Amino acid sequence: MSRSIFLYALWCLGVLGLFLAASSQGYSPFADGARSAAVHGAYGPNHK
Amino acid sequence: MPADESGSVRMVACPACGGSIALRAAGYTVSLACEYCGSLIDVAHPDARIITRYQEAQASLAIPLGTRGTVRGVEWEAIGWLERTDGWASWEEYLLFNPYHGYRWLIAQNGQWSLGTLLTATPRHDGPDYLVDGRRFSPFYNYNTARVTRLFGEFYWRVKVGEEVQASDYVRPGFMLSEERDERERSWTLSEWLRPAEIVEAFGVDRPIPWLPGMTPLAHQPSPFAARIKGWWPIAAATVLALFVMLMLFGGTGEPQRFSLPVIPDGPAVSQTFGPVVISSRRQAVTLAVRTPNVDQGWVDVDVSLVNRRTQDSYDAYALNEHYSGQDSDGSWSEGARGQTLKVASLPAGTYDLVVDAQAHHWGSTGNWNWDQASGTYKVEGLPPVDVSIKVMCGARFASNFFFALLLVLLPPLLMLALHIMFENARLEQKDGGPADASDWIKGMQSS
Repeated sequence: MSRSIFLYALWCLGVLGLFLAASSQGYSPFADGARSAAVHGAYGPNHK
Repeated sequence: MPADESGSVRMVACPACGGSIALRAAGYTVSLACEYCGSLIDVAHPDARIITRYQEAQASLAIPLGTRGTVRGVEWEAIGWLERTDGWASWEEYLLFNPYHGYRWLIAQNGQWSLGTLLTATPRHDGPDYLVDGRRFSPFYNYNTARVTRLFGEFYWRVKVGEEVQASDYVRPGFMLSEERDERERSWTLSEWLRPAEIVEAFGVDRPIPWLPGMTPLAHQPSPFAARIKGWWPIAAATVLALFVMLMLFGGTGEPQRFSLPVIPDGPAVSQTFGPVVISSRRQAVTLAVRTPNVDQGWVDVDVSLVNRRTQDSYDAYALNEHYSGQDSDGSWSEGARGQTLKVASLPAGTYDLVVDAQAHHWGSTGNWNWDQASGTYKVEGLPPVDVSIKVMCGARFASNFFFALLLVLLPPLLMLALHIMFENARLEQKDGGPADASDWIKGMQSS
């Protein structure tokens, strides 16, 4: 097995590990928590 | 310097070795290489003198003549060296010799090395391509004139500076098939690109520089990125499959709890507490599906908070449900979403209250508009309340996590693919014929 294949396999294992950890903890950096109405700028239809 | 003349040919004695050299263009030629010792002689000077001695010249060679090295299990000795050019590029060729295996060529160009073998059989023609041992070679350079510019050492034919041949080259990744022809003969040479480690180990030359964007690779140099893409592809596929399985396994949600409250459009904000919502796992996400099925020509702001009864820690999220419709010259239109699904991440185990703050607003011209002195805005009266329903489920499927992980997994192969395309474009830029396209990039991925 070449070094590049080994390093890439290691990288993929790292990603899998992080995904597994995030899934088991119910974590996501893209979750909706902590957003509030103040974030929303304008209301009303955009139709022209 | 002893010299004599016979007709238009002048004989010059080499000051280095004493050998007689014919000077055919006397009066025009300014320098002459001794065919016996390789010394370069200045014949324009009345007392012909040596410009470069053979020993000095060969000391500048990457592989001094006489050096032995083992390539592919055979020990070769470098016995001759010549430099050639086709007007665009120049390259060096070392003639290698082994008494049991004959001759080979070691070709150096742009810091890369190839081992050339003279073929004893003419390759089979197949359309524009040639076939050698079932391997297909595509046209690359068409009928360039290759001319010898310098040479030293021994050769198996009478080679001299200025000798020209018509050369055509056909390539496949890692190999080049070269046809050379002059008025007397036509020969075929099969060159194989040598890995940097091979040539360094064999002859101790400087390590070839790896290709970087902006450099020109050899016509037959295999893409260093193709092997990585091919080696990484099964790992990437297995990882993506594992990610998908994990997404399915961990993405389930528990039994839903449903809560609802009515909100009057343009009325006061409504705040209500529901619960309890129990989270039993050590840490768990919560999915909140917020629906306002009858909101029309308006919007509803819904702030939801899950408040831990013991610690009073609050985990907040916000939904904006809206729906608008109308008619214009293009027909009817509608926009907005009456439902939002919120996912709150990583809540610690415990018992929570669901605190909902909702306020509905109306937009448009329907209803009875009255100026409200207290708020300083127009208020609509007589509109039915908007129903806000909230479905709470323990657990959440974060597709965003999956796609982010997918991006991380595919990023290195995609980077390699981009570099492979850049490499192939730089390689094929030298090709005689049309510009490179996707089929050329795929050809560059083929096994050598």
